[in-house]
Amino acid sequence: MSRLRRARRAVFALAAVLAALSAVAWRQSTTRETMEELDRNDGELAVVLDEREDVAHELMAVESWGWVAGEAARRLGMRPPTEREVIITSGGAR
Amino acid sequence: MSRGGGGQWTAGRIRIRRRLLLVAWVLVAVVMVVRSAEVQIVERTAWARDAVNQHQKTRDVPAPRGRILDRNGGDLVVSHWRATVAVAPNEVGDRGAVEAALVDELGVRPQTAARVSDPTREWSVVPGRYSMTQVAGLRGLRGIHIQGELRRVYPREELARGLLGVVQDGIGTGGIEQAMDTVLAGRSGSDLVARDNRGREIPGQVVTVEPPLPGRDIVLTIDRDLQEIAEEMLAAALDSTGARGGDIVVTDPMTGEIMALASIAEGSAAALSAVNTTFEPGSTIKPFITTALLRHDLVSPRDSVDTEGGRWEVNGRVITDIHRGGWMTLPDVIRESSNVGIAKFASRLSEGQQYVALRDFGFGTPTGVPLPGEAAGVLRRPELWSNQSPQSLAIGYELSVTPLQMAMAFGAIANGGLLLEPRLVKEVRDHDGSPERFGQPRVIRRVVPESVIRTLTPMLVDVVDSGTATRARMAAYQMAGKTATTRATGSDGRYEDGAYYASFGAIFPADDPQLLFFVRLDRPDGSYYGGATAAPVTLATLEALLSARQSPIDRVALARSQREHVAPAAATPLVRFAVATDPVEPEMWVPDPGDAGAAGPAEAPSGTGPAMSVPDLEGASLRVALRRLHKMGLRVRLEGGGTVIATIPEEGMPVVAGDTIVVVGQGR
Repeated sequence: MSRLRRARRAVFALAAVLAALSAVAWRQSTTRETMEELDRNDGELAVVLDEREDVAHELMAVESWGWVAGEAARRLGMRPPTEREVIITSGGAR
Repeated sequence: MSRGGGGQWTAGRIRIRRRLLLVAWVLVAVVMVVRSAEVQIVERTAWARDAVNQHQKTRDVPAPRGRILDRNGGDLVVSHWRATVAVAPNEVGDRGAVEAALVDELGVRPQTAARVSDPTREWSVVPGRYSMTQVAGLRGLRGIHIQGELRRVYPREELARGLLGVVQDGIGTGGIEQAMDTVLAGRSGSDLVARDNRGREIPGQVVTVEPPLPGRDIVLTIDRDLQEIAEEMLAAALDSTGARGGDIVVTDPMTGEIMALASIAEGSAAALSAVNTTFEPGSTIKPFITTALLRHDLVSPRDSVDTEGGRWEVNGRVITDIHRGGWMTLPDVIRESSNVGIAKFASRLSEGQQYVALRDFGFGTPTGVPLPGEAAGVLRRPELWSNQSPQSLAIGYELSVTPLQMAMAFGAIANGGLLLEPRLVKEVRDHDGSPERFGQPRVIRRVVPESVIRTLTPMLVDVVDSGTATRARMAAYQMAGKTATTRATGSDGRYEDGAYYASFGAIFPADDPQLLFFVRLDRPDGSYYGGATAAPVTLATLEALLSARQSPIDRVALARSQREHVAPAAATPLVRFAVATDPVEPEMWVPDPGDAGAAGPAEAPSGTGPAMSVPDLEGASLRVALRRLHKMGLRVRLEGGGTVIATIPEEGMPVVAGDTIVVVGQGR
């Protein structure tokens, strides 16, 4: 009887140790996965921010005087007006 | 016997061997104990350090360099992460997939992709640097290694490259990058990274030891669109005139802010010749001599001198004019740019007065613009002058200036007599983006009283309206300016035959100045006069600026400056672009080079052929008016019908062939 009890205790102790070790291993692997996910997200964020800045620069380029004047000439045969053709009204915004 | 003796010998050998083995074991144990003691006690620190290094790595984290922005906050230079991509062919699992990814994601040619993934190589770097977006699709591919680095990126490519400078090996070289390197450069930080048994970084196991301190952003006074327009117009002027180089400086004369600074020298737009190259200013110096004459009450606008038919010998030097004029008043002298006239007027100044006048406008002294290599120019003290120097200085020789100095000096005329320090940096933004004020407009000195400027300005308006700079004349606004054509020197310091600098300083608009232009062209071919080459560049730049979507011009104030006869109807919209209709190239007026004087030419009148003025057409039929104006080489825009009641410009106004006259009919 006492041998059986001792055996049970030993099994429980072993199971407890294994459970504790498993819990540690599980938490560590979960943490690692989370950290990897976080790193991936950081990388994606950097890429998106980079892309946003590139788009902003492209936008800046196509809004520039040179681009607009060039495209207006190429596509529509237009030219910048001479000063005689520009009329500024007194109510115009700066 | 022999056998018994042999047994004892064998037993003895075994004993000896056993003892030797024991001794050996003991020695080994002693060595191990000693070594372990050495490792644990004596070399403890070194081993501990090695262990830490094996499991941790300190990594430098570069600090992004500060951005350089234009006056409206638009990026001119930014620091961006850029990636270099390398391939380790031995590690590549699927070569086809790697080649396809390189072609698809990076846009490299298939031959290049095949070459860098060639299995006979150990390591290949893909040419070029790529954005993080481009390399995102390559992550996770075996055999591909991506290394990021911070690079300087110029979103508008070549815009203001000379002004901005470059960064080489992390150090600013040239332009603002060099002049403000300590402000722009940040301080690198460091991270502590945990590594696994293979030396790879463990995700998430990064401890920031010292965060990087980014460089501070600099906001310039440059207007991006105006800078682009100035660069385009300068390049176009070089094409059309055959000039070797040139400069355009545009400033706000009220604050001293540099709004555009474009230079092209020796074919390079990365030059900074507006700041570091000097030339003799020629006739553009005449307004400054005039201020001295007016300030000391040595002349009144009604005083006149005999210009000797355009040739005057004084102190052994012959001074000549293009115009063979007679008696001229001071305004006539300025309008026609008479060398003889200004030299005679200037003889009323003492050497000291003349020297102080020029010195006070900033000639011979660096302006203090925050750009490397600024030239001071030369203005010699009177004790070093020859007996010809007063006359030479009066017509802009025997001194050298930079285009920026000229712009700042003209700015003093535009703002009522205050010489300002040029401002290129509007503000510096701290690490958290909060602005630090950097350099308020700084008045160096009052050069002349406002009353002098009020007398001088109409003379400069006449230069543009009916003098040497009519090619810059505007129908809607008054511009004040002064042209110059000076002989150019070669590398040996001697004047080159047939080589000239053409320049033009302009104040726009004349009654309420908003912009100051100084344009210089280096050795234009053909019609090399400032009025025929540099003045039209100013007009073209202004015209483009007026049509720009974003412009530093205060349009409300500008509307008030419009000449009365072109005041628009309130509902008239702002025209941005007009359809091209029969564009007429203005003829270039090529003067006889023989007219150039010994000390360089005076300014020739711009325009084509003889001077013309709008004829009296009132009461004539539109058909008759049209024929008369076309016969004069003028273009006509009709408004209304019936008989003519008015013209714009009005009768008697000076015009040149190619100008458009608006003919207003009765039935409007």
